Amino acid sequence: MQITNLYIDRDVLDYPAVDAIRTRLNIPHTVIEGPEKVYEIISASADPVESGKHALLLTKNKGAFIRNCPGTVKYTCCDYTILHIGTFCTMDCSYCILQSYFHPPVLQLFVNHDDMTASLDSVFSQNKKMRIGTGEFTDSMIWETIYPFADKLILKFAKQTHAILELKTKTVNISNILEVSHNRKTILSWSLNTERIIKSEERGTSSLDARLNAAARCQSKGYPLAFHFDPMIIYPGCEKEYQDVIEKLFSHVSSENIVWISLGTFRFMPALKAIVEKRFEHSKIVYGEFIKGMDAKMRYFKPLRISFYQKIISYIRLLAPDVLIYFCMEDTEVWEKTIGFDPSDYGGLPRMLDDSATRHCGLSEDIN
Amino acid sequence: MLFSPQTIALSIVDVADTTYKISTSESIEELLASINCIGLLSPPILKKNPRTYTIISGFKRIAACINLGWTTIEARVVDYKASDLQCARIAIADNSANRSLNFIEQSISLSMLLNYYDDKEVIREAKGLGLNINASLLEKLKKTAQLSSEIKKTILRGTISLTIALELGKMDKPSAMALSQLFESLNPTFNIQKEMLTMVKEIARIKDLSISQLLNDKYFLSIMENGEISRNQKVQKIRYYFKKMRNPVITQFEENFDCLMQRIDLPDEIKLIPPDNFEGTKYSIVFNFQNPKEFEFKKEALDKLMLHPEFIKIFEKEIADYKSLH
Ligand code: SF4
Repeated sequence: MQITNLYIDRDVLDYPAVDAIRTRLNIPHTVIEGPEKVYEIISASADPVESGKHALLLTKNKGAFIRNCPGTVKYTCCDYTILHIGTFCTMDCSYCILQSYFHPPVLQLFVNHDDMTASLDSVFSQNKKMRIGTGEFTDSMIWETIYPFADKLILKFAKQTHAILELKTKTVNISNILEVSHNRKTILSWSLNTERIIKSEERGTSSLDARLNAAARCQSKGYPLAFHFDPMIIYPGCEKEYQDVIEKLFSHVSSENIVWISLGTFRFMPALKAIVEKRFEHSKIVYGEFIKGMDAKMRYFKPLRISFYQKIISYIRLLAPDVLIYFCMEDTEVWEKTIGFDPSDYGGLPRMLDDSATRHCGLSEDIN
Repeated sequence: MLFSPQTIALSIVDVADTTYKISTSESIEELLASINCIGLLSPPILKKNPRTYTIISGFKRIAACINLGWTTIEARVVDYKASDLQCARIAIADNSANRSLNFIEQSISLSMLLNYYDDKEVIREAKGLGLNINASLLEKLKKTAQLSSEIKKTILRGTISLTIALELGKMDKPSAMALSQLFESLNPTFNIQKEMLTMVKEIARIKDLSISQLLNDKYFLSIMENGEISRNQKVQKIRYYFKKMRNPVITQFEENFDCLMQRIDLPDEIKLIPPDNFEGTKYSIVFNFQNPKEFEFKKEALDKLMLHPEFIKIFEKEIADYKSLH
């Protein structure tokens, strides 16, 4: 999606990133006295989600760069840490939670990178195992073609041994990071879906083949990889199509180089339904067999999820018996009925993921 | 603007011209009785044309007088130079001064004004003419004005709510008519209408059918045409039919659960309650007892429950070879 409006918070006018982005975008910009002005403009538009995808705000992250992922006690959480580099996304997935998460949704890129570096230094100094990702409130790599800074993050993480960085994306913007000395402390990860869903529900994202080719190139440069089948959509014939994706995945990359694969079926806050209906006229994803889950999100009926996961896991296990599979936000019952154990039997999900990261990325043991 | 009181021959009043007609009520029975008894208290307002008179306000009064065989009528006449807007304003002011206008009448009134004013001005203007309208009501009334006359009639009869009517207004005509007829013939509560509407809209989207095609289905028609069941029973059957189409796996699962419960055959007054939507993992047993003897009896039944071969199946949450719609 093209950026047509560039807003620059006066506070960051002389930051180096701003100059670079301005030159690169080469569109007129507006200097504003604070983000509120942009929020107002976007909120007042007829379709704030659409407008929000065309307007980029360069500003400061005035809050915390490092945050805990907002999980819920009702479902098993992976205890992830977010590096908050910006908000919203230039791609346009029908199911994207960010459409209803921000009020209004605004593309923000935080350019106070010195503050971000300081936050990371402080985290690293704790010598505590951490999995840190930038792809929670945005896609990790969307800005790489305009202002590449993933390489700097990768280098930063390469110099320590307790935390890993996960860059999660649906783009293939990897050219700038291929030659970086990553020291295997950065995991490149892609969200995967069936070709049908990518075509119908993931506007502006790269194709499945392109994602897998990019993953293979990163693997050839020694990067550890991860994949997220999330959100999986249940539709007639979906099992076969997800099986095709799984087969394709393992024909591109080695299961031994995969740190983890997450699975999650589509879930959404009820407010998203109207947005999808309005913005994605042909989408049927909100008409699945949903019930209100214990976290108030709509989820597929549990027996349906269990049956579906059992099949997907059997397809993965056939090709990659040892790869770590985990669920994003499912409860013990789902774990036991599909994967066959409760994460707490292995010290809990965070521990399982940390162990896998330790094995694949060579993390040091906790000092504390 | 001046109104001049005049006596006008009813034969030259153009009753077919409904340009300024706001009232949706056609019934003149009460008016007939009142005019017959004490005469015409409030003279209608007419606009003079070269050869005829257009009614601005008082359609029912004139119809009643004609019905009573009157040949002339006392009227307030507006000069032929009066603009359409002036006449519309008079019509709205006169109608709203005499009674509160229903939704359809308000939408007719606004449509008249919207020919001349933008949204902001129209709210101000309407207020001056006795109509209290805010921006969100204005939007609804604008949409109401677009509805077909059949749907407007169902609103007036109180069969469907405005919200439902506006939803019907967004559909293709055959679908809107099919649903409106469904609501008309079964007269379900507004909440059930809303549930049915959402269900059929979603089923139609899932199945790539129009709503009218969906409501032409043999099984659906057989319920509608079944003369042996009551209206309420039809409502229940249709809701279940929609539910089964919308959520086949969930409905099948619930049916299976009920079958299991029947086979387990717990004594009356012992209830096994599954978690909400079968999502959580906590089941509960509720039972009532009146004395220690009854407690003992129910406790024994609960002990036997553990041994029942079907009991364990409840917790498996398995679905039989599902063919999900989705
Ligand atoms: S790529 Fe991710 S962040 Fe971007 S629109 Fe899709 S789901 Fe949202």
